[in-house]
Amino acid sequence: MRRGLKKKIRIIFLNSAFFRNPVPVAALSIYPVIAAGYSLQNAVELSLLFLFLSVPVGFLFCLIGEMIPLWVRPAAVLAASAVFYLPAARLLESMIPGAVAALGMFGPLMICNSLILSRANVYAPSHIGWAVAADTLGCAVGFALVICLTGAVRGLWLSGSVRAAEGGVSLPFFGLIFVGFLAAFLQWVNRRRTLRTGKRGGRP
Amino acid sequence: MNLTEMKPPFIRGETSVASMMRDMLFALTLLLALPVVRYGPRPAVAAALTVLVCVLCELLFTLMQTKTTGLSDGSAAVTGMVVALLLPVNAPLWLPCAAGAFAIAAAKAPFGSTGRNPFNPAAAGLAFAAVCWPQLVFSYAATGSGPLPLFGDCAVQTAPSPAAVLKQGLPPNILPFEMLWGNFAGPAGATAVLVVAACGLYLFCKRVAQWEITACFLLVVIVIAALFPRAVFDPLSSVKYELLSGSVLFCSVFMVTDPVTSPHTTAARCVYGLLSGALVMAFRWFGAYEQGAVFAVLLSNAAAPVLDDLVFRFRGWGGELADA
Amino acid sequence: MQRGIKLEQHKAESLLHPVQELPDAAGLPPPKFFRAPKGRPDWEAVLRAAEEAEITDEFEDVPLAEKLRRMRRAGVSLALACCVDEDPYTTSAMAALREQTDGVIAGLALAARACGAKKSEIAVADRREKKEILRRSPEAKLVVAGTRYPARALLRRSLQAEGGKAAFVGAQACAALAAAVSRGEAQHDAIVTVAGSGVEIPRNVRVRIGTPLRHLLDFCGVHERTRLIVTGSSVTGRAVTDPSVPVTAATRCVIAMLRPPRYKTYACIGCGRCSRACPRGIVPWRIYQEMERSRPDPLKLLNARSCIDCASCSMICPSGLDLAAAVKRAAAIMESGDLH
Repeated sequence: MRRGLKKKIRIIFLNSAFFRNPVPVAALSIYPVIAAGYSLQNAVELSLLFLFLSVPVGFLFCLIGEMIPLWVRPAAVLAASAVFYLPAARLLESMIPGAVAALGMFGPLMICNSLILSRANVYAPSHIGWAVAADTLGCAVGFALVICLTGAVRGLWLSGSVRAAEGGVSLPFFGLIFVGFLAAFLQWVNRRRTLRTGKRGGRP
Repeated sequence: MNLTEMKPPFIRGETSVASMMRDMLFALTLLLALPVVRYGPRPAVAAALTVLVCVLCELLFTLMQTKTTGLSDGSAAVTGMVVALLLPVNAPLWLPCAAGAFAIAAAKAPFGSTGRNPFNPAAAGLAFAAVCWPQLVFSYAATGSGPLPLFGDCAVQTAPSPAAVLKQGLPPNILPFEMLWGNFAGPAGATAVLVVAACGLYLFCKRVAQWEITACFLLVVIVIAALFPRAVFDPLSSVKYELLSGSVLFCSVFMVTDPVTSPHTTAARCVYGLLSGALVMAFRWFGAYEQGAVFAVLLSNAAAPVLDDLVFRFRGWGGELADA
Repeated sequence: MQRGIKLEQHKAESLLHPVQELPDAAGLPPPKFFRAPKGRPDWEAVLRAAEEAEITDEFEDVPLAEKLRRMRRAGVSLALACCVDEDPYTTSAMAALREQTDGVIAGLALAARACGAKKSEIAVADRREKKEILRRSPEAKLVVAGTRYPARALLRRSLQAEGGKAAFVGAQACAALAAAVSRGEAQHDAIVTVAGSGVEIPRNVRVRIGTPLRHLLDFCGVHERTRLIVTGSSVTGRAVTDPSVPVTAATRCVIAMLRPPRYKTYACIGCGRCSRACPRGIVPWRIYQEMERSRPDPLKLLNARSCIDCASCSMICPSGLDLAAAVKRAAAIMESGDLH
């Protein structure tokens, strides 16, 4: 592979996974994080499900996305997502037995995950395979990071030595505030990076 | 002569943000008097601790954001006092501190501190405490519990507050005299109705609080209480009990009149008062907790900028007296 | 609803003593004289006399002749002698009225003739002042302006509400006009109030125009450790850094402060005091909010141009914001027509 392409792929991956992580930055796929991300167990299961679902959908739409007219593409993406949910759930069940049942309604809700859908609709059809692969894996890693962090913190609060906040912390409002602070942290990191590259005067 | 250069104006009016905060702090400290008399120094200790935690949080965030220590206005102290006064006297001491820390760290500092917060920080802190620890926030010590231990947990007998009794649809069984002087189970500073009213008058005269909001708020509460009593009694008793129970009067004087989070034009302020009064009664009727005033305040805060924009759209962007 | 703001007044001390004469500084030219018009001059003759006497209106710092011509063109129907000092420390206009009551009345009549106004009245600050002046001159026609700042704008609004146009002419300019027409005397001195924390005894002083400020400061015993000297008005005036500047007719007051005032600035807390105080109905906090953006929307700055620069908004703001400057910037945007 050409060296320039390798560098670009690396940048795409890092952006989706960390620096422009779509969950805090673009508020995509917020619902699973705030509603279901209150324990580490949930978080790991949901991240695996996300990975198993987004890779085939992204791959499919990279191949045939251009051929589908614009007005029918959202419906096609949703249909494809639903179809690929079954093997993904089966794969998750075989890795962690009892996971799909434990997730309750949040498992099937992954079908309409806004991050998967938006990437498949807009990004996958118009980019080359390597870019789509890097972006999809990056999004999966980014989502996993955010939801696992949220799940760990809230799970710790709920069960740890800090006097249990029973219902409160598992409610969505706390997740939203937590993701907000993550977004602020990311902004700070990005600002430091711009300052540093500005000082160096070179490419990031 | 060593003369300095300066831009006009060279004199100012006497009111400054710091002086307004000092007035509010004075009024809030007056409210501590009766609980201290009844329950010992514990309410004062709780208030002092909360104020300390709030001030420390504000210092920390100012350091992080601007790299200087800016503690020139007393708004963090006011937030701390309001939070401490709306929690029960027998609450464990970490509860008001946690609520105060949330109020500053999540509802005030990230938006830019004084003047830029869209939500009332004290209301946000109390809502957080109410949602996370509802049993602790709504269990009040029975009257006559005597002096409570200064630190550590209080194992006292709790009594249902009039707001809880009303929520179940029964008339509260308290003498009117007791209700006026706050000798019943309720939040630390919100029970002594006469003192709250006196503090309110003081703040209105000094123009620290806006009287239009309080007037419209209480008007709506009175009308709804008279038309839809929650228990079987006549409208006058309904109005009396609704106003004297819970934190409605306290919120109407100290929370809803916060100039930063309420609209800035007079017409919008009246509408805001009506809206928050209606929301308070809605929360009392249909809400999950016995006191819904803080949630009503938060919802109205969200509507405040919209109200201002509506007034400007109707009136033109100039103001009423635009002439030559 | 009362517009304007109430300022704490410091006028009583400087009015206790009569106006003192400052001995002429070295190097000043002698007062000029010219040929006074004969008999009862018509309006053109009055204007010519005002020009030859080089009279300056002390409130607006423009030549009186130019101001009267402008008033005539605008069709002013009521000429007011401005004997109101809006600034809380200044009493020079009040002292001028008290000491030269007949001169001010005569000058006002001449000014009314010159600008074609049918009515003329003397504006004083409060009813006590009105009684005082009526005692000295029972036929004078007086109108009370009130003590809220800015008194002149508020008086003009209430007078114009009854119809017609009103305009102010400075008290000292009126007296100088009377002297010019009757004796052919050019305007050569002005009454200046010297007050503030850096002065032991606040007082009014009659100063030759052109005297270096230093001479006046030494005469009044202004403290050496004064850090701030303000001329013109403590609200809209200028800070002086070089004490050798000459005193002009428009100086009106010299305020010496031992400590320059330091005000803390906070963010706007939305109290609405500024919009209540503005005498022109502007909403300064909204304009300030709009100007803080990188691209202010001109449609939301609609009446910024009616600002009269009284700075009531900046004075009343508890957060210490410079609202007057923001409104001025907004007015400049509207004026330039740069509506992108």
